[in-house]
Amino acid sequence: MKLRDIIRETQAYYCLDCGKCTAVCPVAAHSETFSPRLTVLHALLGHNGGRPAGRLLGDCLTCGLCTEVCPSAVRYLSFTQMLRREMAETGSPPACSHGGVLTSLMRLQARKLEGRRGHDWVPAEARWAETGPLLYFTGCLPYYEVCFAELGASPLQTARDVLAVLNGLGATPVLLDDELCCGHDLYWNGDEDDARRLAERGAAAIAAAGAETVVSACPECVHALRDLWPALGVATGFRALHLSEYLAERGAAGELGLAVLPGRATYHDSCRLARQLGVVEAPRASLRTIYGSGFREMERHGREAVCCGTSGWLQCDAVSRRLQAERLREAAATGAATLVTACPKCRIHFLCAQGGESDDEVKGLRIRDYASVVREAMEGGEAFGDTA
Amino acid sequence: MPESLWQPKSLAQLQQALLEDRAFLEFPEGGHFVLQNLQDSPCRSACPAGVDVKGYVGLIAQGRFQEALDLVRRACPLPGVCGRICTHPCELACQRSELDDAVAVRLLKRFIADWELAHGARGIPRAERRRAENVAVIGSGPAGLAAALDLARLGYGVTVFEAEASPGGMLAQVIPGYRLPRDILAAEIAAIAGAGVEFRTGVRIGQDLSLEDLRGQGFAAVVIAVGMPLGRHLEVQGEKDYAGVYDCVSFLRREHTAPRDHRGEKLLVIGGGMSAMDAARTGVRLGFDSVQVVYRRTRDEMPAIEVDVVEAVAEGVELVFLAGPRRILGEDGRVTGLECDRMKLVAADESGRPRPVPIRGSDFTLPADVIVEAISQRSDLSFLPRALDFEVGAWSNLVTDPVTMATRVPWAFACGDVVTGPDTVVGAMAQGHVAARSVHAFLRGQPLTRPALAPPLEAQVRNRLPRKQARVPASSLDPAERGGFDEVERGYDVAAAMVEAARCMRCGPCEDCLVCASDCRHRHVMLAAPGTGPGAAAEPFEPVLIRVPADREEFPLQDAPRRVTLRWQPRGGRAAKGAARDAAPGELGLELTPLVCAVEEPLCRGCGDCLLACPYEAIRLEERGEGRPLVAVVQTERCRGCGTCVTACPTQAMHPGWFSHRGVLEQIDKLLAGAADLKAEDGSHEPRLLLISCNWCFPMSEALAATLPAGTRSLRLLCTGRVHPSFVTRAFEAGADGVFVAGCAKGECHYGGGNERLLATAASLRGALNLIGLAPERFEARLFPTGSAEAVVAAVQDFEAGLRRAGALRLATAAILPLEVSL
Ligand SMILES: Cc1cc2nc3c(=O)[nH]c(=O)nc-3n(C[C@H](O)[C@H](O)[C@H](O)COP(=O)(O)OP(=O)(O)OC[C@H]3O[C@@H](n4cnc5c(N)ncnc54)[C@H](O)[C@@H]3O)c2cc1C
Ligand code: SF4
Ligand code: SF4
Repeated sequence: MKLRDIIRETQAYYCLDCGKCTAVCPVAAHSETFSPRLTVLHALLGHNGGRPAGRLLGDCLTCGLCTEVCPSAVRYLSFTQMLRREMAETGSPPACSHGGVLTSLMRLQARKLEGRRGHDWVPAEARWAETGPLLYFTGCLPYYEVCFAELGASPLQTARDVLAVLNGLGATPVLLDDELCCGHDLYWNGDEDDARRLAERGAAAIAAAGAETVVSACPECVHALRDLWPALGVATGFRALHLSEYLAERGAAGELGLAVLPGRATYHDSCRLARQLGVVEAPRASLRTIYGSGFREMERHGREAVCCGTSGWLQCDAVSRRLQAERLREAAATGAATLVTACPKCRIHFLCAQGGESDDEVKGLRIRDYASVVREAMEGGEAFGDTA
Repeated sequence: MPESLWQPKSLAQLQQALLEDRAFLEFPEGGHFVLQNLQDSPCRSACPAGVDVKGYVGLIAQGRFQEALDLVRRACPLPGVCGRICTHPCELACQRSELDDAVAVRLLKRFIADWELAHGARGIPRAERRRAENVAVIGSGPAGLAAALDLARLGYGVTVFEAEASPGGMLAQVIPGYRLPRDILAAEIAAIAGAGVEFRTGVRIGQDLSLEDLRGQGFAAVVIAVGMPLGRHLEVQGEKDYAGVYDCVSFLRREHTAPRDHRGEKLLVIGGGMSAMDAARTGVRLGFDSVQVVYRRTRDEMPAIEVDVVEAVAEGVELVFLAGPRRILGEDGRVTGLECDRMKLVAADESGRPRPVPIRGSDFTLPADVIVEAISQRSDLSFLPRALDFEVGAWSNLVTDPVTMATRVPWAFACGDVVTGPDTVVGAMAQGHVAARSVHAFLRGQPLTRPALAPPLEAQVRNRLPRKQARVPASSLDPAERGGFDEVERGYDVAAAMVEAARCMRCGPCEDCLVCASDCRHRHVMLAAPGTGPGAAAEPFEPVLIRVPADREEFPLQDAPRRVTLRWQPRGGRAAKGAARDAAPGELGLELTPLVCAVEEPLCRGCGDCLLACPYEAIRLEERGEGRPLVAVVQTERCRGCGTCVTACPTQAMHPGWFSHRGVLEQIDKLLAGAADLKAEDGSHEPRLLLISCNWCFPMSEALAATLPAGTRSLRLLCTGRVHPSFVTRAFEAGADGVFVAGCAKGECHYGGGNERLLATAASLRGALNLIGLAPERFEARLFPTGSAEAVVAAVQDFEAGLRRAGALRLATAAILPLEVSL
């Protein structure tokens, strides 16, 4: 795609050069080189071929704060994504952390023709099915379990908690034996071909299971299944819901029989859930029931919440660390003992950053997944399973 | 274009020229391009001549005997001699002795020297005459030989003048043949002559030619290495009155040239050093009825080497301790005995040994027909013209500047026993090296200095932490069979030598393999044009390894890259001859870079994962101000460039010298290029497999490598701790059907346990590969004992058989995504 077309398609030519985007951009706040305004400006003026250096292209979190404030509705996220797509096809895509192994595994999934991941993690007492109307899409949790073992976070416990919550509501969800990556990261990093391969096979597997509703505890999976697969031209005959949305649909929080948990808690909105999917209220509804007056909001929340510091496993760096440290301090400042997030990736990033912090309140924060909190409340308030 | 006008266009071209010996490099200061360790191993530090012990022992362990010998010869022109009679201070320093026994360094050196002789000696390559000046060396003992060879290698014309008929000094004249067979010495001297040193024997300076004559004959500098050829006497009563009393050197020299029959006689040797043992054991061989060694102290204080004493006793020599000679007795002009005081030891004297004092009225007599006084030696400096300003010391030694070996006469330098007093072969050679270096500086008009050696190891740094394993014994001739002067000790055979050499713990940061000096991609020192390397925007030249000449001369390379302007000169072929050589030298701005890790600060999130991974505690976290994360900093003097931290770092903030993460991935792509396409046709599929192995532990001969399955592509990493999971996944993306990683066995890692890290990486990676449904037989990481290249090959063959059964790994596309943007 030509740069001209990218500009046209994302309405970049409407840019007023007002700088609001850069003013709210959390990366720009800490980086000397990154500025969304300048990136657009260079594209419009054709400086350096109009394209930002690969490094700068990778710096964007695609968190979407800028588009919230842009008076001209420039689609900055798509602008970034399209430039990355161009880079992935022709040059060097932006670098990924962890040596790129996570992205590499995603590409292998996209390209490998067969293989099953199995259900080793599923507890014996859980109820699940191979076909049925409701499907639980676990996403990358099994991968995180092996790749981030040293964080002690047990990402798979989140999956077990989701399953328990669904079972607790009387549902017997489908678990796919050949579930693949949702393609979210590959899409946003510019590798649309592999993202499409995943979407096609994923959609076929879900259709084969006969699912009408797909629930996931990962906002990125939901965003991919709901928005990106169709955008990649893959038809989906199902609804994709975040667990919090599904719970909201299933009825008022009281109906779920949630117990009240002691202590104070606050909630970190993930970019995808709050801004891309617009889901702000649903998780809060359950959390308010669970924590009652102990529920606190951080200064920046809802659609104004700030990102957890990295996305799509793109280059994590000193700026990421500063964003995370800031966010953790913000959470601690509410007086909360628990930081709940409804995104497994946000949780991993926070856990990683927390390990290096020295502030006692930050170190004392319990960083939990929304699903784990809900499960505990559903089961009467005793901490269940491990410490997730 | 005539060769002399050739200008390298790139470092690679220059490297090629250096490899083919078509050019050599010179620093502005005149030194050669050098490689230096950051720290030396204890054995090398202990060796007066600086022989690269760890280096050649390592090469022996790998079966690379000729290379090992070449390495030895850089600092020791007499490997066969030293392999037999060196006092081996290296072994005394060997850290292995804390665990079990010191590595048998001396015997290993002997082994390669013998091996070369048995395989048609290659000797020392002829040194090219590159300089007009001639240098005279007086004396052909080890000091003179070392100086002569060094000077010849520096390009001078060198002539050695020797008073006696055959060269070698003490080695030729007095050291007994049962310890040092003369054919060994002769072969080594022939090798030195082969390198271009001229020998003129039977010429005594001061008699046949004077020192001034030498100057008159055009020798621009003179090295005096005349040793201390005369024996000293005890100065006791009766010494001069009776026949049959000798100093040790005269006795040995005489019996060596014309052995006589001493059957029926009694020999008394006075002294406790090496020469006393030689006199006594020679006595045994000459037929003396009884041989007694009379020593004033006890066995513990004897300066002789332990084995000599053991062998002497085995051969029937009797040791008489605490006996102080008092008077020599005789009758009819012949010796009949020695009157001694019984001694006792009191507090240490200035030599550090307990001082013997006579016990009043304890005298006793030992009968003797011949008495040899093995006390000490002195020089004969009568040839030094009085007109010149030489200074002779109290011990008849020639006084020199202790650092540069310069005498007071500007063109004369001295080395060896004549300077130090009676010392050792290796001590004499060490001085010979220094004298040669000073002559070179003198002739080039440069200030005389002595190279600072790499500092010895501060702490115990071992590259391998071995299991207990005793030294491999060498056999010796049965004492009952030792009638003549046949050599007593027997050396190692190939198998024994390789086993013994493998006991070396590779102490110290550098492997000293000097692979970097020739063709190895994996080195600790790199040469690059300034402005290249990690982080540099434009790379005018690919950084390359350049060949490092033999001399171990000073060029410190501590941490930062050092900029140097190198003069290069064409050499070899026609261009080498005549003035053309110097006509068109070129200059090249270069950067010499140590291969150590560095942190890219903007990427570092201060997690400290690297710090935990580093086996050398080379990383610390530093503050960078309020609100900023900590930053990892590599202490380059500790870093050894293994890259284990690089694998641990989640953000690729850690850069390993030249072997960047991206660089390795690029290499994997290159190695496997086209592999995915191979799978188009079914059936006849040849599995393509990537073998990642440790650089150090499995040296493979070409013949062995040829038995690897045809589809094998091999990637060697400095350490398998460096294996990042993405190397494996990238290989699969690039079309590999399987990936096999061979690390060295636990406790044998060249670095600090990279193999353990490999196992951890492999375990979690296997989990992830299972999830994408990759058959387990497609990935394997295994550890093998060091040196078991055959076992690695066998395992890879099995692995490949498994891949055949599993069939081709089919991917939806053969197009690999371009590599991520480099940072
Ligand atoms: C009996 C004995 C045993 C020893 N055993 C050992 C041992 O096991 N291990 C060990 O490391 N060391 C041993 N040494 C010591 C070792 O041999 C000497 O330290 C070493 O040889 C000294 O070397 P150099 O080159 O200084 O002198 P030398 O080896 O003495 O050589 C000097 C040379 O100069 C020649 N020369 C002298 N004057 C003139 C002149 N005016 N013109 C021309 N040529 C001249 C001499 O003929 C001689 O060849 C032993 C010494 C002795 C005496
Ligand atoms: S290759 Fe490396 S380890 Fe070996 S000698 Fe050279 S610098 Fe030392
Ligand atoms: S591992 Fe990487 S990110 Fe972590 S402290 Fe070390 S260099 Fe920095």
